[in-house]
Amino acid sequence: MSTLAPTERHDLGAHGRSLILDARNIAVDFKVEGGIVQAVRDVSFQLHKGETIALVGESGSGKSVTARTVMRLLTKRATIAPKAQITLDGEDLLKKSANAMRSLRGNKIAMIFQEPMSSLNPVYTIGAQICEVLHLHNRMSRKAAMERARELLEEVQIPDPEARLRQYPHQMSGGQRQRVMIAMALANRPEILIADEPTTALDVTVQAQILNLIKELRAKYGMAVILITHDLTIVRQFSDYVYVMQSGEVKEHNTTEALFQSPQHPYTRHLLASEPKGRARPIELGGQPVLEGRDVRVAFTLKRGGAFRPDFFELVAVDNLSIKLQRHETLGIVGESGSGKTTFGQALIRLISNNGGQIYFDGEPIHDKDRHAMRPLRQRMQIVFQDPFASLNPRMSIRQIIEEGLIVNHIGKNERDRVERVRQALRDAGLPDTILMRFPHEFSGGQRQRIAIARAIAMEPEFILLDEPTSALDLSVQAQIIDLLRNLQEQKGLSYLFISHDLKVVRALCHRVIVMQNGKIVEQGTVDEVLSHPQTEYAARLIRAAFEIAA
Amino acid sequence: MLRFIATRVLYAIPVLLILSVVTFGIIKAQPGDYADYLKSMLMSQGNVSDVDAQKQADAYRAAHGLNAPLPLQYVNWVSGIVTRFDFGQSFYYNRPVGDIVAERLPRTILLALTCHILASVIGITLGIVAATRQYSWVDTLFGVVSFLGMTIPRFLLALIIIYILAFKLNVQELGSFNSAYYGGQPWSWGKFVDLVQHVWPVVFIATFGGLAYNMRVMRANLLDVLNAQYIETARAKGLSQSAVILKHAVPNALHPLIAYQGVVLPYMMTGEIEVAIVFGLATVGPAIVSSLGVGDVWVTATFMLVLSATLLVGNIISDILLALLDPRVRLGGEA
Amino acid sequence: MTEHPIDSAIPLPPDLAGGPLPAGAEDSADTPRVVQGRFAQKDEGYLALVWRRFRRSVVGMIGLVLVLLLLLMAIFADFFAPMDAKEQTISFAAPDSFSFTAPDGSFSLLPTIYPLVESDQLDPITFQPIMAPDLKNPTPLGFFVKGAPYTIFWVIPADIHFFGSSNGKPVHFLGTDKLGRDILSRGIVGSRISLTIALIVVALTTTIGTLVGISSGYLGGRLDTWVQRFVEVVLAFPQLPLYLALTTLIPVTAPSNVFIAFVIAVMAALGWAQLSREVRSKTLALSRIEYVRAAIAVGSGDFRIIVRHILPNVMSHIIVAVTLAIPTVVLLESFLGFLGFAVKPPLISWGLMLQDAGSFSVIGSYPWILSPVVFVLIAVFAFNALGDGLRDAVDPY
Repeated sequence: MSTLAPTERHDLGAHGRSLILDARNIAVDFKVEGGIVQAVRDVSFQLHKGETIALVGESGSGKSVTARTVMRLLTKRATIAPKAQITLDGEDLLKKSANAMRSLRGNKIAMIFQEPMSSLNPVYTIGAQICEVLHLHNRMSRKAAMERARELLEEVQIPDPEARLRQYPHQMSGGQRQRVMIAMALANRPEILIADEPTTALDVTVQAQILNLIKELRAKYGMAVILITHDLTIVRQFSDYVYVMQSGEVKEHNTTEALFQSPQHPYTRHLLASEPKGRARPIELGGQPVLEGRDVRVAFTLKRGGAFRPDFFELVAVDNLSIKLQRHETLGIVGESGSGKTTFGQALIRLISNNGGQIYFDGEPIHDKDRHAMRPLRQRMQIVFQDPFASLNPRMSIRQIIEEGLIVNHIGKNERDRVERVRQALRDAGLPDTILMRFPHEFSGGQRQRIAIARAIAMEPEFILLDEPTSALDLSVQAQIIDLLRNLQEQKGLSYLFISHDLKVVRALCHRVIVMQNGKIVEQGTVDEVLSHPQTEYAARLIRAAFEIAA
Repeated sequence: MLRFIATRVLYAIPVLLILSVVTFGIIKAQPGDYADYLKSMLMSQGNVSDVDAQKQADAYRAAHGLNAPLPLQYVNWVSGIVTRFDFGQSFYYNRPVGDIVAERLPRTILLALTCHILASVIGITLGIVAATRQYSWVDTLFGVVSFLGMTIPRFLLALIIIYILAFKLNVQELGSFNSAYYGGQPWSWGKFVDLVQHVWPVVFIATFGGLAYNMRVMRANLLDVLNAQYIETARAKGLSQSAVILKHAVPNALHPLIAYQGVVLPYMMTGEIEVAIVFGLATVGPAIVSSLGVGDVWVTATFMLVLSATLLVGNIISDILLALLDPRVRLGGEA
Repeated sequence: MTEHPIDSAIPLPPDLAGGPLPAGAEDSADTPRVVQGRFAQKDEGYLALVWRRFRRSVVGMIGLVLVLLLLLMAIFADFFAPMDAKEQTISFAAPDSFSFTAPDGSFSLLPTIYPLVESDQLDPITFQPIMAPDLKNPTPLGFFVKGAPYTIFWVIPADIHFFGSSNGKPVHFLGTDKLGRDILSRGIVGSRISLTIALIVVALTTTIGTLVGISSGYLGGRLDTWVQRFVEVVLAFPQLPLYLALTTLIPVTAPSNVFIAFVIAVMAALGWAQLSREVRSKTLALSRIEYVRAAIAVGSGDFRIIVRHILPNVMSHIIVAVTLAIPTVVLLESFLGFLGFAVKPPLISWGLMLQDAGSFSVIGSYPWILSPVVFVLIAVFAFNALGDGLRDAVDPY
């Protein structure tokens, strides 16, 4: 146990509020095929009434397992070390019977989870699910429970709560579902709320709303909140005390200001340094745009209304938008989910077809070319996808994956030449060139994304469409990829179209930015202009939410 | 809802038509027809000379329209069905096919339905038990049982059971639904018991196979569902383990099973037919086999049609059930 | 994790450097769940991974061994059969009785066979001599005995049998059929035809089903809609009655080869539909997956995408389906045979052997006539077990 992370927190005796939860020496082992995994090695923390503590770490740090240990929600394959102790109101939670724990869950301690899309049972109405937790811990009539459920929905600011009670989860958006989760968790006025990455899967404006909602309710009811996250901005804005975790241990803990001002542990420093930083290198603009779109329109016909009353309607994903990308420029397209940014990007490189408008690549019209006619141009425009796991064929070796483009476009004189190009592409992407015979599953997310980038640059394109390439990666890995992209652009004179929902990354990488909402361009300009002086209300809200998590 | 059913039904009709044409074509492609059978019967059992038998056969043919060009025969038959519910005449039994259908079809459906329901209920229950006790001896035992159930050929099981019953236990009246005593009587508890006594091997065999199938699928589905996030949510609310499984997991695990009915139904039907043929029960399967043997065309064609229609109806019902049970299908998404 | 030190500019995320991740409550959704044992290690290609996972399944390994033995037996059927399959001895003879004690009282692993001969006693009712084991003249057994001549691969003449009587006398482990032919030998020889039919039918249905499924799923559009409608019609046929009807079409007097071809065609006519559906849905899912879109973005043509990207990822499912389809065909062939629709002599198949078992009286008097089902059972069990083991092993990443 390093001296930077003693078992007791620095302000233990000196805290203004009363101690409610005291966790000491938590260690959890999991039995898996092939052995035992130590998910949590030694974690201790203390929680006072009315405050928010944060457990911060990247994937694999053990923060989620720790949270579930408090609720004793672990699977049968998990063993908690005997010396672990979690004291709530003078009683050790780990020694309680199963029945006793059940009466605490949803009652005194409540938890909300990361994936709002799958956290609610799809076959029961919202009202039924909220009433379930009410009936479980209180004696209430059905009518009283429904009334209370309605009140709870009002409290979490869901519009039209009466109607929502009878709706099903799939009829609500992600943000609304998370509000319902919060309502369910708070139904019995718990003393402790554990929030496991509650906003990671949500849009940035919704994220701000949800986090502020939790903050308000916490203040109103005097709850204590354990916030689990990997996002440092959230930690900074919403927590009072921070525990930094890595590989199942707490590396450092301190009050929020103290930690951010003077981080002691190298890992903490590394984390803090991983926030996207830097700016795009200045370029001179001019000349023919590499990619241009005029009045591009993409519309889909969707079905709404279910099996018995099908209702077809047209969804306009991209509503007559125009765009110009200059050489050597990085243009960012920013928007929340449903804004149409991915559709726009893929339509511009003709991976999906557009229903109107013109698209020009290096002056040449491509909007009416079919797939066959597009093939000679493919070499010059490439794409990197968001999901590093789905973008590499698990059955192909690294060499085959990268070589495919070379073979198909007849690049390289012979096989040796091609292999050399593959090696060069790997080196450019920061990977050793000895991994040709390996398979994708041997690599982590960040490494796979590098392989995807290598695949793109092996073709020596002029332009790359980057579709949220860093969204699925850990923070520190994200920073590396951003650096890599910047360097590659400088070295090879690439132009990037960078689609993202993360304004921090956009600020670090892009020259200009376009803000989209509901298929329309809401604002555009250079990064500095838009981020410091947004002209529209929506852009302003987006920026506030992204950088300060203010709603 | 009505529109949903109406579209499905409308869609099924051309399918039925195509099926009827194909089956008709196949049956008629058989060399020879009933008149030939008649002729051979006359010659072998009636000692009629070849020439005379041929004359009688030809007369029979002419009288029953077997000489008409094939398309005409088909059209007559189909129009008969559509306008008068007349499915033609059975040459062998010398009765309207409609009567035979009315006799045998309800029994087949009842039998198949009973087996199907039993197989579903028992299979699902066992699947739930196996999934909740994964890796325990119960799970392994059920795994073996389901493997056996899906591997052992049903007609073989039927043969073995017949052998044991007939030759070791001296059971009479294997091939009927009721013993002679109860045959003509109105329904009573006694008759029901008698029915079960006669019919249990068929039900057992057909159910065994279907049960194994359902159990496997249910177990796999449930294991998948138990990994879902909403299960954790339910546990975090403080629900007991059994409540979590029965209230939250099982309803979601049932959906794929219902959707799978399109595969399970023909399987159950085939099984029931196989066993019925071995046992010689008076149901649809044996009727098809025997009519095929003698060239009793309309019986074969009608029963095939009827079977196909049953399958299609079964599919429609399962579609409706799925829509009713899954609010995502029923209501669509809005978000 | 890997031997070559990857560029130090890329610190390996702790989950992979330290070891496997917990399979229980996990952290953010993007964590690669690389748990040793279940997933691949190091340089493992796909085949090596499948083999490693397959080896852990007891049922699968048993199935594999059985299948290999079956195939071996089918190829070298004459070698393994103790007697000539066409030789006729006593009709409807019961299986020879055997005991593990030699006549001199010692225990021997090799059983002693007492052949059935007409004994001195007469049946009181029929006044026919009762068949009883001839305790005085046991038939000696041995391995690699000389027996009825046959040809290996129709070319090389040989007469060594794997197991049989060493003095040339007939030995019937499973009794004889109506014409006095040894059932065990016929069963072994019959496996050739039954398995061949099954393999060919499955090969046909798989090929057709895969072709239809992939093209329908990949090309989409109007072609897909119409093909799917066609598939629905095919699937709506009640299968068994249709097979029955189709088999009656086979002309009784046709030569054997035509007959087999017909039987194969009949079974293949309906069997491809279900597979095509499953292949289609997998293809649909795969067409949208990112690495396929990346291949399109790189400029690959349709053919290349289907062959290099879609097919390999659908193949696992196809292989399992193939393995599980073989028993279905074997069963169907035997059931049809039982009902009277089987191949014609001089060909032997399990279905044909069961044709004799078609009446209850025969079964009652000579229950051993049913023993061909043992062959069917073993074959069905073996392939199902193999398919089960494969199914677990070929799970996609």
